[in-house]
Amino acid sequence: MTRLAHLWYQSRCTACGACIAACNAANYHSTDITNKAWGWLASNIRRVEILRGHRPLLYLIQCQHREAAPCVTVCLTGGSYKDVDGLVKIKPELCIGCKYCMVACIYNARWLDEETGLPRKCMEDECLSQVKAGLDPVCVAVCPAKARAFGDVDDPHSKISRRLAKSRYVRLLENKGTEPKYFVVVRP
Amino acid sequence: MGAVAYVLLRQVKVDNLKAFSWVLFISIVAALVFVVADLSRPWNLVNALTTSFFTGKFGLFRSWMALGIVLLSVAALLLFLAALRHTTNIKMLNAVVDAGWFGVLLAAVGLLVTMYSGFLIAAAPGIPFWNTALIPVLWMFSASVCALALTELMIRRNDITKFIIRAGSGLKVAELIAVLALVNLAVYGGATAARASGWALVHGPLAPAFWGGVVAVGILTPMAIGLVSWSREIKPLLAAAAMLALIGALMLRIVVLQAGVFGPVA
Amino acid sequence: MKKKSYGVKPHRTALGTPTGKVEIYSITALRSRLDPLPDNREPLYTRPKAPDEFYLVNGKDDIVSSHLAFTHNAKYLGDRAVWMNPKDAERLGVKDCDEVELGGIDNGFKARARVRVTNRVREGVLFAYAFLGGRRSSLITEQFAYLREGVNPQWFTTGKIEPVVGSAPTNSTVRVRRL
Repeated sequence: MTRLAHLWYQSRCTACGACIAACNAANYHSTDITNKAWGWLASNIRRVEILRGHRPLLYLIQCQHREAAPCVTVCLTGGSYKDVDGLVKIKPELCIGCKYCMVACIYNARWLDEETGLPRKCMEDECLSQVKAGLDPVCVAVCPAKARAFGDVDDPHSKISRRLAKSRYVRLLENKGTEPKYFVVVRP
Repeated sequence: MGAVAYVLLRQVKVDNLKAFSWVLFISIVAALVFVVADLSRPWNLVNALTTSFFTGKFGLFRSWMALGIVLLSVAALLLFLAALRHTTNIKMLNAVVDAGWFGVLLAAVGLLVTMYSGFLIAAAPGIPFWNTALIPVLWMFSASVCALALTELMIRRNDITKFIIRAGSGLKVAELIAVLALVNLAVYGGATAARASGWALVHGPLAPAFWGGVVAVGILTPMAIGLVSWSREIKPLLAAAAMLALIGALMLRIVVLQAGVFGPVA
Repeated sequence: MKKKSYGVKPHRTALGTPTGKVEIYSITALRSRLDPLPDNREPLYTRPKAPDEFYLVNGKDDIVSSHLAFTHNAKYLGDRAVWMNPKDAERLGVKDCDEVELGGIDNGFKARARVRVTNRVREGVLFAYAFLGGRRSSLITEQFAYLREGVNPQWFTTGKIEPVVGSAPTNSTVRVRRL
């Protein structure tokens, strides 16, 4: 079985924003439309900062490509679906824009693209073609701090599996069940 | 719940349900129009629904949105038949609509249409404030009051008015308890996001709409009028109570939706 | 590679200093008959005394440059708010995203900015990114109107320069007024 997943080194990330900007450039042609759902730019990655804790923390939130994703369950037409490679994808031809998937996501990882009416999220066209060609998605490719990885967690020799094997990592909102596939490495 | 009211009214042999049935049909059509108007890709509706049906991807048994669309469509059809029955005089139509099974089906669909939107938002894990079984129940109480309100405004029969006053008072109390329970549980026992939503309703930006619109205008005033009317019925007052109850129900749905926020990721 | 052991100096060749080792005093200062070691002098601005007076310090990150500020992404990736410690914010009754007025203690210049309440700045100190917000050029188009938000920390400075080295500190002290 193939299960593609993301890895993000919280401990190495310098918050440069390159991944956020690259996603906007590659998948949305550098559009400057406002992402009203997040009060953000048109990118699939958003920044969450914990500023009142005992130390400042940064989280980069994007689609977690969960095993049993609620957005897939609630989609009435099957437009939001889990592909065989483990990624949660959208079929625009089946999407009516009811936005149910947006409120079903516990990470608020989807945003409404007002031009097409689609609920956008991580793994849009450009990154999907990259992955199909055996390359990394753009956020992984542009990271200057080597703070990202991507690959098949079912393949023990993939880059992500090797990194996971020697890292201490957590997953976000793991207690909600449904197995998120976005690994946050918390130790160097 | 208007459909349930219709079925019950036929049981008690109310005649001239023509206007009532047309209002119900128009309400369902309006509901469907609002649903479609809220879509961000309405032009794809027909294509998406037909494709998903014929490729077996339609989520009738996993998605409340799918079930809702089916229920609304079925309800629209049944109410159209009922409205036609009271407008025309086609024997076969009369036979179908007057049949016992039609009444049962219509009442069942009416109840489900009332509650499905409550289940819809309750089943959305992203918004903790909505994730309570109380919401579909609250929706049912609120919609029942609306059905009584509509009946009061449109049907002129003393015994029915008496029933409405008594049943309405009881339902209003139940609705008040359910609304306060929803907010209380969110504020005191809920997840972080549910608490934020609860406080927004209690003394945040949504407080005027909640306390003024939903509670005072939509529940307490009609309840007070209802209690006064136990002894003395004043027709204009009862009509006002009905209108206020309808406005309050709309405000309830609006504030519950507006109060919903996503939970923190860490 | 030879492993370093205790007491073994890692460098092979001597440095170009009189002792051949790293020296932390300034030869230029010595030659000018000035004290070559850094010492603590009074800052070139008035220290804050009242509870609503703060040091205003500034800094940068990768978005904060005159050029990068003019990319659309800087609207969201850049932070044009003034940072305040939660204890100071509570004392002044300021909440996150509130607008405040900053007034320079030395030059009286006034400007408005939004506040971000964060533990990333210590009590008694405010922080703002330099050269991101607070732009005043009339050539800024509507598209980049967001660059007018925030403050330019240099507005509140005294403009005095340090002796000998001549650097002009961009730190200052300001009075905060809640709006």
